[in-house]
Amino acid sequence: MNIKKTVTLCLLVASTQLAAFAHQQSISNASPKRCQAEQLIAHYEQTFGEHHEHANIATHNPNHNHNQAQQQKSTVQQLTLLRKGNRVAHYNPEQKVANIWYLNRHKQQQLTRVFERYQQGIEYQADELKAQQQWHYVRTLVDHALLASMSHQKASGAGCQRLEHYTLATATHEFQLQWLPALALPQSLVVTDKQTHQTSRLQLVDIEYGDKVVEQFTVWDALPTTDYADVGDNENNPFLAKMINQGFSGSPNAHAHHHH
Amino acid sequence: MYSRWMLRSLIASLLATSAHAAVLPEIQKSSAWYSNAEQVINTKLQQNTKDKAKNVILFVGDGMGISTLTAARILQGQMAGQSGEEGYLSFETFPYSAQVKTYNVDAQTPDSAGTMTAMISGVKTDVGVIGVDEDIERGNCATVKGNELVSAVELAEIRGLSTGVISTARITHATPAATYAKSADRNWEDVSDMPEAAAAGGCEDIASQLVNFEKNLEMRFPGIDVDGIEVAMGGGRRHFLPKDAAFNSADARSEVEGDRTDSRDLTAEWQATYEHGAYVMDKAGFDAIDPATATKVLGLFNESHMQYEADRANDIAGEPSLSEMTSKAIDILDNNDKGYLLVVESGRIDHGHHAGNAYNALNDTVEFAKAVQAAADATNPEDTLILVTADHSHVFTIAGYPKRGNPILGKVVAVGSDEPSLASDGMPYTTLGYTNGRGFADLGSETNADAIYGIDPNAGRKDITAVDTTTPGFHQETTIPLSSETHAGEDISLHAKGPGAHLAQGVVEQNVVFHLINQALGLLND
Repeated sequence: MNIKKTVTLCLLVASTQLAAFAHQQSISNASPKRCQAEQLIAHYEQTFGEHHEHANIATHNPNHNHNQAQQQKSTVQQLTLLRKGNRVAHYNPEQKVANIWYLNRHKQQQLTRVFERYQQGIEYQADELKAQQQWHYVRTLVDHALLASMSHQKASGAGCQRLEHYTLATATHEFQLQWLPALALPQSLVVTDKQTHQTSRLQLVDIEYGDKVVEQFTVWDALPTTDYADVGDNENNPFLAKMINQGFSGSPNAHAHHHH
Repeated sequence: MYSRWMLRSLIASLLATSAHAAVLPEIQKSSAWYSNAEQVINTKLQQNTKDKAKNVILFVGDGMGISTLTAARILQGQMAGQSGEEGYLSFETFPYSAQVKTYNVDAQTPDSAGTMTAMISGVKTDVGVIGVDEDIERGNCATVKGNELVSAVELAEIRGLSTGVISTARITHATPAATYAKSADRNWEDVSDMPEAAAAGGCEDIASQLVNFEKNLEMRFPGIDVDGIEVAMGGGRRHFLPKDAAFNSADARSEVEGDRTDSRDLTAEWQATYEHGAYVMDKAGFDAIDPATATKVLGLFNESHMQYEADRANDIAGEPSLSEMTSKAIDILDNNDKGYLLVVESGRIDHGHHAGNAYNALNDTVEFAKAVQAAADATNPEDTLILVTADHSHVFTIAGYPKRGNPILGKVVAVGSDEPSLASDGMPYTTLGYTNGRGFADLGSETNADAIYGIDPNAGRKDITAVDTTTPGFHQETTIPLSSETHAGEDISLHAKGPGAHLAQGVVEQNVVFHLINQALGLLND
């Protein structure tokens, strides 16, 4: 894998936490009223760590039951995706952290991570975008290669309301995707691990259109930012000192459960 | 007339010297180690030192501690197919050197703002402040007035010398800023970085101070007539442009390149002030400058910092190297018969270390040494004092017992072995490492050290058995997890060549550097 892709994907995984497991639940009926794919706010709910069925694993580990019980607890997080032309933000309302990407005309991805609690942002180096797949993932929350490899099952509705159903079964996972092609967004994405029976779910809850997108980007743009290269020279800034000393990455789900 | 006692002593001394010389076996006297070292002393005995210089060039390697010099010289030699240890960086062959204490007035381990202020003004000050003394309260605009220091660059301008400031960091970054600005906070690079009270209180942001340098200096000292900094080149366009996409440069990486919230376009203001000056923002513009006729140059080659030398080829619009900027600056500045003062900073050595990436820190140090050599080649050693130093060190170590010629970026392979040595945990380890920072990452061919910031810190021991640690994208292991590797507090070195260079000796405070410049140029002479 291209090294720069690896770095970008690390940031993406940190922002969306799709590598966890939950079991299938009912799907929201939220759907777009208008086709405004380039300027919208999409609210998602992410569920991690639920079991589709109980795993039956024999173990002599005295901590096994405790661990298993912990693993079965699901985690629910909110994720808001904002689009405005070549800018896309992934916002975690609980952490109040936004990852804001900009695709410039040189096909570089510029990431700024805004920490609303500290009213400051951190700018990362522009990442050379050698493949459109990276931007596809940022913009749609679905990996381009995954979408291309899935089988189309059926479709319903038309125009902006068209909903396409895709599935994919690999040796290790099953994928079910309900895709809104007019918006290039998932209505839902469910990933099940065949071995552990754990699933993760990304569920569209609501979509907003209009000036609110512009207003939100304007608020974030007004915050002062620091190049990450300068963080190490700013131990006197309380926020940056916290970054230096505690090493928090600031990713929206940095403190969430990881179940890889 | 010798007394009898003195004659006896002289004869005894000559006999003893002869006897001592005879004691040396042939293998010792014929050893290249022996004769080469003897030649060093003989050369020093023949040195003819002068006190006064026409020109001074101050080179500052940001974060270039002693361990960085050692590792960079080995890497430089190994890149040339040699063992490495026996070589020298260009400035390490200079005849004089000193050991420099770097602490700030309020900090045991310093930062660039306080250290460069000391070097360029002769006064140590607090961490984080630019061109002001220790009575300043960081971040408090009201405490600036009355605490402003005068820099060697300002004094040189007043004496009619030409002046230049070059950096691979933003030209508004702490080290270059200390040559021309006064600021209660190093981060006040443009007006949007300042608290409202500071702007309302009459404090001027750093970028604006660069553009208004001539006007401000003439206001501070009524009656003087200066012509402004002749050459200023580096990164940092964002601090000179309005926060308006209409002002974006051709290679802007952000949607809106400029950060200024006061609608000022400082590049336009600079061009209006110096109508015959050349504002350039890419390699083509840089190459088009004719140093024989150029009188003023403002080069802003990147939105933020310029690229690491290893990553420079990836720049969209193209950037000059530090060597190229140094050579062109000298060619412009030496048009002034009165002489010049040029300050050159390699700003990204520091950033490579902060990212825990020895490859880029060392590669930029090697380029820095090339820039010093370019300066030495372009100047007359009889009239130009060249000083080469750092502002502070980093927690960067050369450890273990690798054999001679072992790749400096590689794993430790002991004398007599071809296999990496194993630590008590059964895993190999690298010669280079950091005490703190982000820790291990294997980013392969990635030439941008800052790519690490997209990955969570990964401190502690890792199994690097299958990892090629000599690649540009390898980030060394660390012990203490921090999200950015830190400066270190030990002394750094000063290397000197040319008139006045012989005064660089012993263990000195960092603010002595100013007095070396002043003594050589006679900046304060009536």
